[in-house]
Amino acid sequence: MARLELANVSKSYGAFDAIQNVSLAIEDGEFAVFVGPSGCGKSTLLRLIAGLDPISDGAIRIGADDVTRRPAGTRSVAMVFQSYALYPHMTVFDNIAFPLQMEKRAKADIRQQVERAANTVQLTTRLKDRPAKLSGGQRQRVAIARAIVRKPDIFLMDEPLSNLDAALRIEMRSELTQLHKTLGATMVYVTHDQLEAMTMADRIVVLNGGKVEQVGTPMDLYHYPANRFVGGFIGSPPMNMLAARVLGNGAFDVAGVGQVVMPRLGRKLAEGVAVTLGIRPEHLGSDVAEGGFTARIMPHNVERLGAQTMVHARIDDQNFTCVLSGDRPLTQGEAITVGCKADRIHVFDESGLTVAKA
Amino acid sequence: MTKHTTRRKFLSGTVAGLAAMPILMSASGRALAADQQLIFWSQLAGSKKTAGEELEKAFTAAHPEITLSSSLYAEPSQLNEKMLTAINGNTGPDLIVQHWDYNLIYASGGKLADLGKGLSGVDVAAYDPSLLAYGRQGDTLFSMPLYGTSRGLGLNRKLLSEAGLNPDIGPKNWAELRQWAKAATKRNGPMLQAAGFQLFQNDLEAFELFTLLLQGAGGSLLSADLTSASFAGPEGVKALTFIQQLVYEDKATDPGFAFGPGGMSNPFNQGRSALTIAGNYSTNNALKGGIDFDVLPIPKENGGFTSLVDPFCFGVRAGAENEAAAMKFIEFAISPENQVAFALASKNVPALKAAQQDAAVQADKYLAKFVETASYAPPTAPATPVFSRMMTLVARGVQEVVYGKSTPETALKAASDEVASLLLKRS
Amino acid sequence: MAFEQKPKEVSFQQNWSAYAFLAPALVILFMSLLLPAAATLVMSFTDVSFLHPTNWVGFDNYIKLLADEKFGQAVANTIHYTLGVTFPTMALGMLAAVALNRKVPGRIAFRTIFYLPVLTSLIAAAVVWAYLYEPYAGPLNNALAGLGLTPRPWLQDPSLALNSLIVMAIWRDFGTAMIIYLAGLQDIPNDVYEAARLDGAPPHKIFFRITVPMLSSVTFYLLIILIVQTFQVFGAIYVMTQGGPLGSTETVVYQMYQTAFAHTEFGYGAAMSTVLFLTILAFSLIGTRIMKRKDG
Repeated sequence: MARLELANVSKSYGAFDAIQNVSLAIEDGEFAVFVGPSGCGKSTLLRLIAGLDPISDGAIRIGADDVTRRPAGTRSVAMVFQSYALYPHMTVFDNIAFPLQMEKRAKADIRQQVERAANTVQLTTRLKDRPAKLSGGQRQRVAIARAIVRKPDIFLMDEPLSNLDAALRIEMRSELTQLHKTLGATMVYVTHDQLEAMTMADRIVVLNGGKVEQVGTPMDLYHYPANRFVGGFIGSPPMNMLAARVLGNGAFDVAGVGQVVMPRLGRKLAEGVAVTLGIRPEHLGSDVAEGGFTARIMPHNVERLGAQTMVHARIDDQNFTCVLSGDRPLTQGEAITVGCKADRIHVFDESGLTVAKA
Repeated sequence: MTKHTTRRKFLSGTVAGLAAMPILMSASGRALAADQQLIFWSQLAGSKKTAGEELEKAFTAAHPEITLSSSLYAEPSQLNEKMLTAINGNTGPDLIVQHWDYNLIYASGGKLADLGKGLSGVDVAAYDPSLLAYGRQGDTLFSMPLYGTSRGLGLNRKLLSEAGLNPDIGPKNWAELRQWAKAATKRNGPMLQAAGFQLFQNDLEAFELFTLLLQGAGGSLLSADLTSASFAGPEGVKALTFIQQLVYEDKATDPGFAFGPGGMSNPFNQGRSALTIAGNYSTNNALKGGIDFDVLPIPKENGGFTSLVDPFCFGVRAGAENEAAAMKFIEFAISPENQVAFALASKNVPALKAAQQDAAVQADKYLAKFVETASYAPPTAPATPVFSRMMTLVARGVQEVVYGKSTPETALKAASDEVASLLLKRS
Repeated sequence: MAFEQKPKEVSFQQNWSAYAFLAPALVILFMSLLLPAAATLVMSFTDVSFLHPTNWVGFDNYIKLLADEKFGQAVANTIHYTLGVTFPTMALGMLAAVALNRKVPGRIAFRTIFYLPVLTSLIAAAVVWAYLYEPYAGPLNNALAGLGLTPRPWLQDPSLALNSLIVMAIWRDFGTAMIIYLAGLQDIPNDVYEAARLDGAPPHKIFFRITVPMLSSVTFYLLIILIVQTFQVFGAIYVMTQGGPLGSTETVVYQMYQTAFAHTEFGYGAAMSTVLFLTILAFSLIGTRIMKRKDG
């Protein structure tokens, strides 16, 4: 197990800069998740760490070793692919044994290691089968076992759950978390699903356009998004965004809502500046507090989830979602009033950066 | 419902089309031919193509009442494939002109008409007996020669002069032939630059070389009645030993030298052989290759000359619908005027003796030489339906000796035994 | 229930029209392939020559075939030729495909060059190779002489001629093998190679443990196709050597042709043809069986 450090890593494909000057440290034993929309560079970054693609600039260190120029397979990393990338002509046993055979280990040793790994992922009864005979979840386990036997310093996982159905995905999610605890390994996990990131990560790295937007624990990112992108990306349903303007009297003029009391901010905003207000749907309640945000909305769609009720409306022609309590009575065609305390409001300046609270 | 109707219509159309197919397929050229049409399958291709076209044109002009419909086949084997299948269906042409041995095969199955009757107006004695011999089965003439090629000793005058030999006076016997071959051989390290004597490029040439030497030693391939093989006797052994000596004692050539597709890739035509067995067909390529080419008669073992002729012959299919027109064509083609014209255009030896001595033919340098060598050919022919098998077997025996895999005695005995069993099966 | 009946009806109608559409092809196939094949089988039990009255001879032709030394040599030559062509063709085809499956510069040009021999006419190829093999003026012997090696009469020596033809056939065929292998390589996901790289497999191990086994169904397909094709070699021999020298390049089909058309022994030729057909059928069946077992 080891620490992973990326220093000013860049990767270009011709004129296209896929990764731009990324610096990042992932601590020994940490479960780090790279998350971002498709095309953000998260998989590219993973491939650079694995050594599958050469980097254009910067350095990669695993533990004390600079592995920047080391070919794949010599870096003490193991990778689980989205497609599993099993060897279809080999049995499960041989698939798991392959990396050990490449190390020219003794047969008895290989057998012991493979059986132990198979036991970890509960596949001991399928060792003689070909991958084609296994279910998606079982194939995933083979891929994981093949990574485990190598005892790598770092596990890399590229969207490993995206080919599984929803129920299995939830099951595997907790299994992977459990596996991480058992092995105590450093893991780098790539996903586009912020829910996976939130539930599994020790720390999340949010990537966008080849750059790191923010690094932090899940709850850090949830409560203190560094910018508008992270605020919108983390959390489900996504944060409501409202265009607003700073008024002279310490309030915002919010399009389609009216005046809203400003939270206590760390810096003063000049009058007339355009900002974006972010409010999480789950923070909106019908118990409207004094001196906060209040809006009257006309629900056009109501989803009853049991414990919660999702109300969809539009403000200033933008989607506006509220998560209310499950039993909240609603009548078709009847407007409701929702709101929250001022300190629940996230304020993003013109460049999209968060204006920190006082 | 509309869909169903359309599909049904389509299906009935398909079925109708299928039903019509056999009718279309059976409509061969024969079935559509008019009664007065003379169907002629010709093998007058290659070097004799122009001569053949002129002959047909002249015939059409002379006989406007006959519609000539001719098809040209590039190789004798192609015409043969077509003939064998056509004969089976009792279709096929009225008239063919083909290499003699195929005609003999058709005749052996009773598939050719007796020309003695059809050509009753023709004085057969006026034609070269050596060529005629190839068209007879017993006393019956099934196959009438249009022309023949004959064999002589082909010379590269330049190579022979360089070796200090006089190409105007050729070798007079086998001993001189060997001396000449040896003297003209040029070697360049491990490679044979020029063979003193080029043996053969394929099975047929191997067979002909052996036949010529066999005759030179006083022997013949078959007994006079063509019922038994006679080539494995002392004359045959002498002939094959001569070939063996050229290769292994005189080193006048290498085993396999010249073996190949021939044409311009034949070493003789590339100036890499001093002597070879030449036929009328050799002239064009040798001259094209820039060879100072000449032809002399082939010496026998102890003086005198020998040769063989190889005719292309007309045959009329037994049961041909237009036999009379076919006979008219043959008569026309073997008339003095057309014999001369064909010989001059194709550079081949005419079948009519008078045409051979015609002034225009004699004025043609190479043609005159081949007419002369033709006169040394025996008036007999190995005219047996097993000829092609015998040719292959003898050629195999010759090559076994040339490649050092067998002795002349053993090789000839083996070939002779097989030929004997083939002849026995025939009778 | 209406839901279940409807598809049934449709599928019946679809079968009907499927057979109707197949009919023209089937009729042509029947007349051009099955009918002659059946005729050949019947002919093999006769002494048919198309010239003489035909007799029923039972198994005589087959018995004669067993004792026919020339046929034995032709069979041996054919096996030699088939093995000599098939395996090197597949090996070279696979190596070329693997090399040109990467993004090396000029790969399209190389693919084209390697495939060109497949497209050239046999006659043109034969002319070129006859020149290459020419004992005195040919480039091959001149190159050998230049290197201080002994020039050889490639097509004129009975011990060399068949191998010389084999080399030419490999040159002509390996482009086909390459194209088929290239198609097969497209089916191997890149992830699998990357997984193997990460598992520490060096390039030669990736080739032998990943690429080769994952191409095995393509290999089997090619093996059968090539065996069936080379077993029936005729054109190259007809053009280049006519079975010589000394019968060293005489193959089954060439001998069949000679027997039928040159010797007018169609019955005997038909018996040879039937034996050849059964041999090829056996290979095809074995091949199909193995493929099925692999898939299952």
